[in-house]
Amino acid sequence: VPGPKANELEVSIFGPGYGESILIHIGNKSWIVVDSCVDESKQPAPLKYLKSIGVDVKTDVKLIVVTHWHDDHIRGISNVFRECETASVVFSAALTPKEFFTLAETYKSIPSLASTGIQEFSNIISMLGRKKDSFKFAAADRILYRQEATIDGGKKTIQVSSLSPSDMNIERSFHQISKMIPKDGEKKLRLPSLNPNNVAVALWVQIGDERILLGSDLECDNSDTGNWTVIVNSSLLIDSKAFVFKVAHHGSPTSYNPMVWNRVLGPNVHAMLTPFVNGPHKLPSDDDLNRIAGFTKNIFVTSRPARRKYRHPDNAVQKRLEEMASNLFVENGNFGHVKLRKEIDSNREPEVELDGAAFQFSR
Amino acid sequence: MGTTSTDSSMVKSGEAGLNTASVKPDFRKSSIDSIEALGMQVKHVPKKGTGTHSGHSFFPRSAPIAVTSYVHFTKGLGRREYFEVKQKWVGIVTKVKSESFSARLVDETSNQSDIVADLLMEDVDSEDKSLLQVGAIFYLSIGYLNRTSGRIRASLMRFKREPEWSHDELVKAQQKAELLSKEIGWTDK
Repeated sequence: VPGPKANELEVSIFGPGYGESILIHIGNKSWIVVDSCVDESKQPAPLKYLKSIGVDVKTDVKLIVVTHWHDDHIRGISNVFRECETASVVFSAALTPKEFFTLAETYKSIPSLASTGIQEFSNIISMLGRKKDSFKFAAADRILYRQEATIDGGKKTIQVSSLSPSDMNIERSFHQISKMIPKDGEKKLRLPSLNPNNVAVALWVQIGDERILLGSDLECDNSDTGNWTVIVNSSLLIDSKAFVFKVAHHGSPTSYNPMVWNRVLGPNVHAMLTPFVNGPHKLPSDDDLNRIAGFTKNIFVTSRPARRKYRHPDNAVQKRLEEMASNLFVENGNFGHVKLRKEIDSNREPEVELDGAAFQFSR
Repeated sequence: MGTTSTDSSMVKSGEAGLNTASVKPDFRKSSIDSIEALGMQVKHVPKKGTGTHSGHSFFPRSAPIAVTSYVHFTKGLGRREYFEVKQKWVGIVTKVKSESFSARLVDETSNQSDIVADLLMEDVDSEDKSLLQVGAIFYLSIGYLNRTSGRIRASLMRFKREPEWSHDELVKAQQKAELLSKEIGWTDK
């Protein structure tokens, strides 16, 4: 499969049903990786794809952004970091205090108690420590990457900025993380998740005159100064509207803010999203997709939020499992890939390709 | 914790977390306590046939070695009895309901995708029930209990017993975190 041309941008989104990863080609063979998920063989999807199109991941990946620590966004990210040797790594500023490092180190010693998220963070932190290297932290209105590139003979500004977390939510998360550090004599239980998603990193990507908004899992937080309201008013977003939106938090109602659609995104924006399927929780719902369809006809989802029934290859094991368990489903059973390519700053419509379980939604 | 026994006819699934599909009554008379308490030994040979693995053969008590997917009970089961594991998972409890609980099962045998399932509370060992809560870790194995009298499809579920967090563990983690914080700097590059 040929990769994008030097003058083409690409936004690829991967979703196995429980997981999400995004790749962006920012021109001239340079890539950024946002989060990671694994396919059924547990290989990091972004690495597998980049290698399949002949990208030298050691040198061509410039930036890795870890938007938050939830398992569905972080699986395989430490392998991505290991292989993309020259890339800078970005964490949410909410995950940079010493308390978070303490939490990671505490659970690292007992892997079965640590969530995948904390293990992956822990691995990256250890690798950085060994290399005496550093990382950047993402917060509202912060430029993470900037380059003046020559594309097709013209000068283009390539810039990646973080739009969240807000200062208030960073402060709140420090408090939450401190409370999660176990105390002497407490029972050892698996580390719970940090909820809700108020510290996820939303990104604004500028490639020449093109704009892309990546919503991560950022939710609204239901206050007047809610996350998305703050973002809509960000000075970074005033110059142009986005033509691609990675819909926040799998299209959930808790991440929906109409101002984003009306003020930040262009008409008929290409809305890309992944489903979230975990136990009884399924996103997006039909209502969610229909709500999005009120703003654009270009809705691309990596797979339907349906669960695939599990079947063990050994009949004896399957039979015993059925006797003792019900609602048996594969967690990562519906892998899909949505790929959008567009010549940078041209008037041509983007081309979208769907692979695996990916589909275009229409009412 | 129950007592262990060398009497092969005394296998109690209720206490052991050992459950069989077809011959449950036999096992309700046993006294297996836990895999660990039985002094179970498990050894993994990289590839079938490359080690001392001998298929379905008998492993004498004097040399309590189990290879590949065999779990060898060195106490509690009779000389010619062993639990042959076909599939192992590490489970994480995600929700506890009145008669069942939800869990994510991480494949320990073939590194396949995790699965989610609702499991029956009645399959949890009575001594493990106090450990059943969101976040608890358990081990689930499905295989065959091979006995002189025959082969029975069986499962074994045990909840992890972790000591409480200790002062030393926490201080050590804090010190390591402080060291890492110093080694890793902030960058504007």
